[in-house]
Amino acid sequence: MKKFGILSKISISFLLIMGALAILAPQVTRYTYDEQNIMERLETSSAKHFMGTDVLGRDLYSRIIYGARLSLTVGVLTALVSLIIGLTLGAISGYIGGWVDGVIMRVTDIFQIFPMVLIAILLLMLLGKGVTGIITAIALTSWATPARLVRGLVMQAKELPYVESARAIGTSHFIILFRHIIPNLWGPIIVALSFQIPNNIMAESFLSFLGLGLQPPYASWGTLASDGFRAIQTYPHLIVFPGAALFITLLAFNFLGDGLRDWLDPKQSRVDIG
Amino acid sequence: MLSLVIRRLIEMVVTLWIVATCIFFLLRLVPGGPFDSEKSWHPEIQAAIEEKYGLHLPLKDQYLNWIGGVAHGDLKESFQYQGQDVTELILVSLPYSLIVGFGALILSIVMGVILGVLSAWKKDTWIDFTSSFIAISGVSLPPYLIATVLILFFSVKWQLLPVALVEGPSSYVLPIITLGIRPAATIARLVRAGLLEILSRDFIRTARSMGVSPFKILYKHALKNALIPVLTILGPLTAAILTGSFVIEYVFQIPGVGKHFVTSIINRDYPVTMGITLLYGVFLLVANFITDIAYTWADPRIKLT
Repeated sequence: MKKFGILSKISISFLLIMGALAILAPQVTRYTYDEQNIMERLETSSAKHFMGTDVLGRDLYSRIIYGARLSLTVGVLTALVSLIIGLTLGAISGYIGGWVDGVIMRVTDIFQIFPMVLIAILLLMLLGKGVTGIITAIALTSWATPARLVRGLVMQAKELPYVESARAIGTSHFIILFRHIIPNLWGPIIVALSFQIPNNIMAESFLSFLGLGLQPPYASWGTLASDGFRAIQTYPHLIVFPGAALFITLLAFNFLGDGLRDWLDPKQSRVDIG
Repeated sequence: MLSLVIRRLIEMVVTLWIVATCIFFLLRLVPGGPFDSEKSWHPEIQAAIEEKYGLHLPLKDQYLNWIGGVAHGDLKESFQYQGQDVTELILVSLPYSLIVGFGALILSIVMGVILGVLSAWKKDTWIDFTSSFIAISGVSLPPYLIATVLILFFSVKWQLLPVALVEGPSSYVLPIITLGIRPAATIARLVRAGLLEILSRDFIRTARSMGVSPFKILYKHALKNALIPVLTILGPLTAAILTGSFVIEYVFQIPGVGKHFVTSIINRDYPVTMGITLLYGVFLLVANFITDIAYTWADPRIKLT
């Protein structure tokens, strides 16, 4: 077994710190995310405002920390929900096979080949642009890849001798699938989760950037980057700081995912794209 | 083979029909209509407009009307741009999107393969670490941040390339790079993994022991096999490039299909949204079909059913 690399350790430490900052946001920031101070607008870094202020004089550092709350919550929660959906559908599909597999896989096809943003945008219009809306939209559009992964794994696993033994002593299919097969797949599932989280964080920031996600005064990394982008020529600090927070966090998740994959699941190679 | 193509074509048509139906009713569920505005119109005017676009009919008839039109290749008229057919709108804006899309596709394949080969060939050297780092950064960068960085340097700081809008060929450079980096990173990682796997096989060791030069082994024996995974992601790759095009066209103000798509959703311009969704559907289904064919061509052990 390969060792858990140094990059993965740095990544996991960074993510834990980021998570702690997000949870303790009121304690580690001097201002709230929507506290305006019109006298101090568009300042660059200073002792008072470590990352400067935005167009309404809101402290950028505080907004980024509060933004981490939203972005990380959305990323983790949607990844968990989509993984649960994908796991259930994929496991049923792979275990039962036949026409059930056929139907589930055609639906998965549609969700996988269609740009998720397209479906997410439509769902957002339906559900409203709040936090609930965005979590539902992203969760409902990102389960296809894990479903396919789990289906393949279950199809392999059900041919293994331990499943046959379990059948031979009269264990029910339900118990075999959920008590024996799925718990054996935790390695690849953890790896899938570690790639799903950054993808979903990116999806949120993407939708928010297009103005279809979270609305002001909410601060997520996507909305911050979107605000910053409009002032790119004049006040680059407004996009540099939130952009860096987003980039480093996603980088850490991807390094962690790579590390976990090498560590837990050396044979698996996965396509993670858009 | 012919029967397979025919069956897949029928499947595609059915999938498109399902997608078309879903999108039609999904759009109607969305609150807000195409002609709702801040100031309330005179009811008669409102009624006249709705009649012009057939919005006064029961939903069932509207659906049959539209799907019948689609079957005859008529995507109906846009609500937003008066008197302009959706087909026309797509034909005008598609070239912009195609240039950016194909440019990005070619860039990503060329860059991805070069980076992937370099890092597999010089495994565990600084070349490998650098290109792996570039690849993993590319996967971690949302497209609009790539755009930001590029604009900051090339347009604002050095003033080499235009910030936005299409004003000649140089306007396509930044959008193509922005759209191509992410898929390039994915391809680089795939090529690296594939090549490392192939290079550890017995037939490579045999070739090496027979004195074949390292470059020839790489070029003649390993690369073809390592490129199979790249072929197989052609479908997801197309999807990724389409998705990316929404943001890229929005950021760089390119009047392409993706920009119209986003605007049409915001304006409740149903015919445009539905027409472009179908266009994307066709693109994706065809790309997936080509991918499947490419599979069997590259690896004859795989049989399509």
